Amino acid sequence: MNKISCLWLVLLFLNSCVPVAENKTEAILNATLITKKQEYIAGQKIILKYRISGENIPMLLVENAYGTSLIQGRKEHNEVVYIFPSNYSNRVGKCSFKLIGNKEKLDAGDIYIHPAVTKTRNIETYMGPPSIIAGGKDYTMLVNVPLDTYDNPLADSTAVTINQQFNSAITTTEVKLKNFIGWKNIYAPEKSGRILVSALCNALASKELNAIVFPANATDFKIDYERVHKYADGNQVVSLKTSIIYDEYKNVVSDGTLVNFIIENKEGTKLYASGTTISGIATAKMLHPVVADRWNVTAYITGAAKSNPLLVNFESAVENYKISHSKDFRTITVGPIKSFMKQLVPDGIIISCAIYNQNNKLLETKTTTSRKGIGTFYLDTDFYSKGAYQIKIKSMGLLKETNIILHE
Amino acid sequence: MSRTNTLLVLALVIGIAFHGAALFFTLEYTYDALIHLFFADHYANSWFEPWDYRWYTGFTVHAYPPLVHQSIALFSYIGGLKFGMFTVAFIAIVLFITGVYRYGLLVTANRRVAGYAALLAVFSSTFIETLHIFGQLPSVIGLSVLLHAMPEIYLWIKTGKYKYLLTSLSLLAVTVTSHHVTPIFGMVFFIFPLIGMVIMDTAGEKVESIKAVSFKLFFKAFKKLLPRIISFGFLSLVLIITCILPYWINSKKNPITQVPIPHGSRDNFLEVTSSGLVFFIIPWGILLFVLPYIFYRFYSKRYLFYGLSISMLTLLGTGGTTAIPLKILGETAFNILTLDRFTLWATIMALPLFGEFMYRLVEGDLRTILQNRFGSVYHRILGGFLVGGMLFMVVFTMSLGYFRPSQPQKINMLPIVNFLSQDNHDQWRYLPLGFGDQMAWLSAQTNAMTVDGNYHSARRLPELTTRAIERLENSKFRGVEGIGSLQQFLTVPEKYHLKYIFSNDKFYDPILYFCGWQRLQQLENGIMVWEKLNIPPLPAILPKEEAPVFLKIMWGILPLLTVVIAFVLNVQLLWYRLLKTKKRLVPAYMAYKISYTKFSSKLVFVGHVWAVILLLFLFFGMYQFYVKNSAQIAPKNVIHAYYDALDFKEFKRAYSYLNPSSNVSLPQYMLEVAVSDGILSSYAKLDAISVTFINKTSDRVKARVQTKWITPLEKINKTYYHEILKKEGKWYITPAALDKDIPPDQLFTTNTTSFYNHGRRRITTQQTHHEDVLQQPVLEILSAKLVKYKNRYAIVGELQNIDNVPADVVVKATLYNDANKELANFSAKYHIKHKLMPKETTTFKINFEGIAWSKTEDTIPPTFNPDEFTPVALEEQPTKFNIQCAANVANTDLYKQVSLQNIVFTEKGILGTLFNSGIQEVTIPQLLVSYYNETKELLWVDHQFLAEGIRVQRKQYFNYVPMNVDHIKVINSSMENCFVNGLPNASIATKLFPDRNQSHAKHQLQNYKGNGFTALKFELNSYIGNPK
Repeated sequence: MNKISCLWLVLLFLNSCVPVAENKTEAILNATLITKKQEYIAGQKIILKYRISGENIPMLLVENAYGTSLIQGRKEHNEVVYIFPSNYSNRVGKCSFKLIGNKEKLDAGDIYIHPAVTKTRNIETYMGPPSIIAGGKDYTMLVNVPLDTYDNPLADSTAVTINQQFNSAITTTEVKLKNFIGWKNIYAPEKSGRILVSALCNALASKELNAIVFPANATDFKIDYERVHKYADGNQVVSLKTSIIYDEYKNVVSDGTLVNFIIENKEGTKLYASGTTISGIATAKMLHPVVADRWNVTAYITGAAKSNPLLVNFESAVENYKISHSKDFRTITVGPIKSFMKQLVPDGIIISCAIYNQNNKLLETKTTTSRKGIGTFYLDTDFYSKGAYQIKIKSMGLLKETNIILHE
Repeated sequence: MSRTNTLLVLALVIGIAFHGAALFFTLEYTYDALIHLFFADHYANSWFEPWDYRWYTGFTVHAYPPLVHQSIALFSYIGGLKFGMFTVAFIAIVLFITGVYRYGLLVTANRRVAGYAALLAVFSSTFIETLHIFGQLPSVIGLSVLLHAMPEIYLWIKTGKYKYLLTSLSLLAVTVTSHHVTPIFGMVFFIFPLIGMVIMDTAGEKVESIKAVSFKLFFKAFKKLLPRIISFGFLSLVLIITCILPYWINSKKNPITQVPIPHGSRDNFLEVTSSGLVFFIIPWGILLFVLPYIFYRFYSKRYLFYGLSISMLTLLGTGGTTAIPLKILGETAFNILTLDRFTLWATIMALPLFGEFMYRLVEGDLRTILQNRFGSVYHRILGGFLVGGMLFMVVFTMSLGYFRPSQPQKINMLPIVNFLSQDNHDQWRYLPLGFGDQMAWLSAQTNAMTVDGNYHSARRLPELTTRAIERLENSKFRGVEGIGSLQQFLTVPEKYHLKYIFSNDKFYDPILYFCGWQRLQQLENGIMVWEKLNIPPLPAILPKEEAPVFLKIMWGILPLLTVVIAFVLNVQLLWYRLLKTKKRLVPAYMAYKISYTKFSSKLVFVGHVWAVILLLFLFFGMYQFYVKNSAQIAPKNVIHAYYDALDFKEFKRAYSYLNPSSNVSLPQYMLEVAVSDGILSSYAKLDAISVTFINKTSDRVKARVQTKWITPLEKINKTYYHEILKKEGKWYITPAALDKDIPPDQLFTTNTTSFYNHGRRRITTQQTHHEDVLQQPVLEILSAKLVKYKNRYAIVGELQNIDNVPADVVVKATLYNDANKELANFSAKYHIKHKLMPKETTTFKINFEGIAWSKTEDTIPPTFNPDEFTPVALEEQPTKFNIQCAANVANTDLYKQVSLQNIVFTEKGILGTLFNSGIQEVTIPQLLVSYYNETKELLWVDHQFLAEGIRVQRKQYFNYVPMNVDHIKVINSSMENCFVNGLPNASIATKLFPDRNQSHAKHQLQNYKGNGFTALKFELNSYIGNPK
């Protein structure tokens, strides 16, 4: 077969494929809609029937909020039937259609699809924020969107029943859907706790939602202290405690609320301890001071609440102590330091020893801690040559001076 | 063909047995091998796509020649990545040994000598170091293939047969695609001398011996060969450019404009002896003793150009010991190149002549001369010494990684890989800390991305390129730049979507805590996972630099194609040779065999003198080592030794320096050490120590020891006083008296509120199941001010958690000028309590930190200072600010049981006592000190870390010296642009805290008359190292 004939054959084939449409356009005269129904319920089958004169079957263009499709009709007797696909017949809202034949609009119309109320399947609910403050000003908002089987929102004015449970009391209210949404502001009660909420629509229930009502800001409270004894021994622990702290609605404040204890001592400096509340009570701990002191304690929940001022007095535990020397004066022994019951002070009392020369110049400050009530200092021959020295010993707030003369 | 070379076969057998067996214990612990593995993983997953998101917020693999990586990737399809790596390493070993053989044959024209060279190559310490310690696979393969190429190049220039041009170029192409630096410098140091040798040989043909070659003759031969040389040179240049064209294009596009990273090979080897050992002594090894012979032979006329080349290489290899390498290379090249490669090349270049030396010693004329002169016993001893020395170097080099591990212990990556792939954790970036080069292995196993990376030439973020750090992961070894860079990432992690940190080194824990990170969980391999709240996940589309398609295709196809071509061309020839299908020509270079008959006796003498000098140096070094390490011969020594022992936590050794008659037993001492914790004893590294004597007698000294410690948070200076006494010729330290304080209670109770957050209550991958999303706690900003202090701007303020749940707080501030142009933004770092209980307040300060030394001309201070502060360079005067603070529910690090027990105001500072009343040991207490003016308004916030921790029911003392805040200027104190969780602060305040009592805060201040302020406030923040 030569090339030319091959080409001819191809051309011939191509020619046979081209539809000869032009001749038939004249055939369509008009199309008449037989189906009169315009309102449907979602899920119902939508079938449009046309009486069309002419051989050709035009296409139906359907359009809703979600998209547009062309539907091919089917000829039954002398009618053409168009069946809407389910993704159009299940969607609530307006659905437009146009019959198009030969690039011309033959007919157009709208169909209205309504939600299948009897087939309510689900209620979309959202509630936020999940926690609110007691007292009636703060609120959380419940939003419902009841849906039918086809995920269509229900019509406006559909009633939604809202149940809420708080402190074993259940209240029921009803809201109407507006713009598909039913919503309600749930105001915080005066008591803290947990609000449980649910919604009902056409006997269908939502899941359980909840919001926590936290107590409001604390109100002024009282403080007190606990201690083993009243002496400033620098060893025992004194606990500072608040009364149960309430908010203005008599709710116990949230666990973990921080309370600052500001302790002003005799010198006017402010010491500081903090505690967090458990069941409304905060506890902070301090060591007893080492010298007699008078603490003026105030506790704060900064910005919100304050306590009464509390006086804590500490009496000195040690009235006096002895200083003794070894024969060569090089070992200085402080103590035994005796406490309020004539017992030896607990180990670890700080004793400092400042050594001055004859010209009253500070040479060195040695520090030690007591063991069995006693602290010792050793003046080394290598560093302290013979001569007179002044020794100042300080412990438990008591200052003692002594003069020594060292020999080689 | 003559019979098989037994020495070569022996070398191959031993080489594969020895290196092959050792590989499995060394390669994974080397510096580089895992990096190549990561690249290989990239190719295995996306052969043609050069962009890899996993490192450095994305980088291109066009930054490194791909052949070795692609080969590993190819083998990985059979048996996994590590199989690929080991297979390629085996190939490298074979290529290297055969390469040295062929190069040896080329140089010496003696099969026996070349066999010796191959055998010596197996045991050469430089090869062992390069492969088993550095893991430089591409470099080894590049060099080996270059050695294979050399005979072909010789033959091309000598004979002019085109098949040799083809074979030489094909091998060169393989070299180029496996390592870019090797062919470039190989041209200079290997091929130029080779060309010189060819010319010399050609010229030598005209006269009876090469010795008679005159310059004129040489020049004539040069002219004759010039076309071949030029054609080879030109074609190889074309190859170097085209084979890795994408590499060159990428280098042009992303020039290495980074601050040079310090490398040991640039050190002065006499000062930094460890660098001298690793980069000079080990690679040279036993060759050092043979140096006179090598130089003598290389400076003979035929090898003259090799002589020049090896001299140059040796010199350049000495790094910063002298100023010469710097002058030769110039500043830029000196700082970019690692100079150890020059030593590598020098030692490889010397191998044939070392082989020749050994041949002559074992069975040649040197043996005769030695036996005649000194007797056969001496010859055997000498031989034994050389072999023994070589074996010692082999064992020493191999064991280096065992005794001084360069890497942390092998980490089981599986738990980390699982963690990253669980619960969408890979939607954020992660950062490993203290992983060493194993981080590359982690990256290779996961799709998650990190801000860090392990190929520093590809770094892109200015925070990294402007610092001399190779990785954030090991930033503690990089001093101020390292920690500074790390701090930047930790303080503003949201910028990089960095949410998870895997910490394998507790050194970094304090910095993480004080930057606002929290511990999430400890994985079963012991790695602690830290997380930061409030970090947005990575966007779905990340920026990427697109490369043209033709470059991608070139990069994907060319490298392996060069191997195929080289294989076909060269192995085919080999095949011909083996099957003897053609009559084989003896290669031209085999004509220059010399007979080893008369070993120069002068050389024997020089060699001996040299060996004696070397031995003297060796003994001197050992003696120095001994003297340095004898701790108790002087008071200063014992103090240094004591602190050194403490620094390295060798407490038994530290105890041995204490006065034995001081009634402190070793168990007692160990117990005292065990109970002390804090930033100094657990997280610090001794940086400097200076000892001054207050009093000194012949056998008793009172010393003031000033120590500087580097901690992850800041530099700490601490002064200690010691009494040192002499006993029986040794100096001892008198131990300090122990605090005898005893707490009041043996057993006590405490109640605290603890919190638990489920995260997800329903096990689902659904991202926002809204009922499980916790409400963000509400904060209120109580005050905020833009202040200027000593030319730096800061925002200070106070905020309160006004919610009912604990909050983790992130505060971010932005500065604007009058025209509302954004100038800078930064987040609060140390000057804030990041975790707040309900109703707790904190002061905060935001420093506007710039990227330190962002201009390369800024001089980098030589010493480490993690506290270094670089104020941001602002173009204009900031006048306004915006604060965005966000809170998330916190449930950890909520320890508040430290009280301020006592305060005394003295001239030397404020002396205070802290008391820990709770049941957790506070490892690092932090004081936040805020300054207020007459109207009790906040001016400034300062901090102090306490060097020692506070044990339960114990006290700890501090001395705080108040600042002079006279010059603080308040620029703006308007709070109109303060936002909390995205909502305006003012509306929150009016809604949730309408009747705030303003006097409460003021009543809590400490009145104190200072410079520029009238009141202070102390707040406490406690880091607990080991929560119980």
